[in-house]
Amino acid sequence: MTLDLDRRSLLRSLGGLLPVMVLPQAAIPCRAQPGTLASVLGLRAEEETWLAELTSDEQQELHRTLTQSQDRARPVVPRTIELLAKVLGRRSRLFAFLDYPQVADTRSLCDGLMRE
Amino acid sequence: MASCASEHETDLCILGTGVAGMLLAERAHAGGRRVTMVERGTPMSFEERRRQNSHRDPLAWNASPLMSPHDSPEREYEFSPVYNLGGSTNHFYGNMPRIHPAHFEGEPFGGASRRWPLRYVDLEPYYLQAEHRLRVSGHSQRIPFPGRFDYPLPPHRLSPMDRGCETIFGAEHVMPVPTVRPSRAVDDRPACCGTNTCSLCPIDSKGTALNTVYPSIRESVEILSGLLVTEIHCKNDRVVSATAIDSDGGRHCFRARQFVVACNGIDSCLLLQRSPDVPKHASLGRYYMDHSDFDIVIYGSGLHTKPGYADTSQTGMVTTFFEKLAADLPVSLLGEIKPSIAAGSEGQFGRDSVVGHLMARSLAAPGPPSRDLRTRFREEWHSLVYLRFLVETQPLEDNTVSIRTIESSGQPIPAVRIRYPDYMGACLERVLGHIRKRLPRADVRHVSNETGVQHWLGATRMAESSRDGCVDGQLRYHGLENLYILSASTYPSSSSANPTMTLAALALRLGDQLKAA
Repeated sequence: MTLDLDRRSLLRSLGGLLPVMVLPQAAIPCRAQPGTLASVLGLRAEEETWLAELTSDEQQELHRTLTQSQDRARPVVPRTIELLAKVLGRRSRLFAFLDYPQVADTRSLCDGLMRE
Repeated sequence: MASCASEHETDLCILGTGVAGMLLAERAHAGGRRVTMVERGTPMSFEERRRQNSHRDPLAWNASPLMSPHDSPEREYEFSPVYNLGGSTNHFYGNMPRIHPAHFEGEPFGGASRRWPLRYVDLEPYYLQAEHRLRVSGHSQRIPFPGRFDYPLPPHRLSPMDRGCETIFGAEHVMPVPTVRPSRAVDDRPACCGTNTCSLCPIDSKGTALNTVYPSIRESVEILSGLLVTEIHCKNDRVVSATAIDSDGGRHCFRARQFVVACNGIDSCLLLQRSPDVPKHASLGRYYMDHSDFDIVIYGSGLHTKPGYADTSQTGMVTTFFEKLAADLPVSLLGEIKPSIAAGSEGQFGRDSVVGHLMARSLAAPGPPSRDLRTRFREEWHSLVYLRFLVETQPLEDNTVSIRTIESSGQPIPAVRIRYPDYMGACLERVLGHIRKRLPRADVRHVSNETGVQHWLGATRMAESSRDGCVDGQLRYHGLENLYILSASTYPSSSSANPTMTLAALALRLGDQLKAA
């Protein structure tokens, strides 16, 4: 069976595929859905699993705290830090959150400081 | 005298196998002297230390105690030496600055004389030799004071945080810290890999007495370990012998033409104090010093500091106040820049931690709500500066080291009384003020103090006269023509420099003196 495509249509189809084929996945950050807790935190789609450290009540609490304060002059309550520490308080996550090189949770030999 | 299980006759007897004792042994042996070293600890290899993940010595009398009466009953002074072959370099971090020339001639400030009976220029050739021998990495042009510098290994690169500090303190006052954490592979050791656990380097990169000097003397110098020297015996203004005991209580006697006490800065003093024949000068056990430090964190510096990025645990030092803080506060402060805040972290943070505080600042940061927390936190993180300042301490007559008790094993337990300088608060305020003036929009905070950083200084101080000191400028004990003290206990002033580099230089100088004896 032959596919009846003129040359222009064929090129248009191939062109649409090229960015996906050529660019590495990491160059296209998959952001979390806007308005969600993940989005407010700035987590990427693949990092949303981090939120599993929180119960759904805690997630709602954190989301509420982070979004209701358009007024950032309000003092930060310790509870907020506590909840954030549950999500981010592992070496691998803290470093990833900083866009630092990937590291394991526990340091191994010669795994300490990073070099430029 | 009770009979000895063994008797040793030698030319030069060195008590202690720390880096100073080993350098002296090497130099003296090269000069034709027959050398015997006596060490209370055990020869533990690097592999053994790694296996047990500590420097703990198996001998009972080497269990490091040691708490001692402090200036107030609630606070004990912690004394935690390493007692095995190689001594304190096994667990030190490896910073090796020289003492500033001005510190050899300091006038008293709230305490006793800070004057050394030797000048910086007398010691400079030996600093150069010791830096070469110990393979110090450093910058030979970017130096804290005029002088001859010629480091054998290049410096570690300044970290982003160091470069940020150039904005605060001026590029002329931020420079690579000289260190035995090597910037390149050297001899049989790999380059420092930045693991930031320098007290027990996991790859044996950091220079220690064991991996720098010991290999060259182990076959040529007699080294007897597991022997605790308990007494020095004298007659007619000379040391005639030293007695040591083994772990079974057996006595071992050493006779030599010359003796050198090369123990740490507290045990050197204790040995002299427990030896009835040794003249007890007024300063023996007095004028004890240990450094204090304070930490400063700068939030929102506006600089780009990339905490966690550095080639080694500390790459840069701040010398703005190294000669002295001010005319009315003529004490020395040496700043350590600490990019390693992230390196040691396993990631956890609490609200009172630096990371927790960064997070709080991120949450409170102004700006459009569209800037997510990640963006704000990264900005706060990269703006962080962490500093520690070592502060010169005064030689005070009432700061003392004495023998609290001698255990049944023969180990002397020290009593250390130390009152720290009352100018610490003023030093802190001046430094905070200096930084705040340069970074008026930053949040600059004092976060912690530490008193007693395990630099054991001063308890057998140098002075020309026995009225004022225990040893002269050649480290010879006043009143005994053949006893020398090679220890940081001889320092009449503390500077703010880590003491090991100066001690290494003194060792080589003494080696040249004794080579000719």
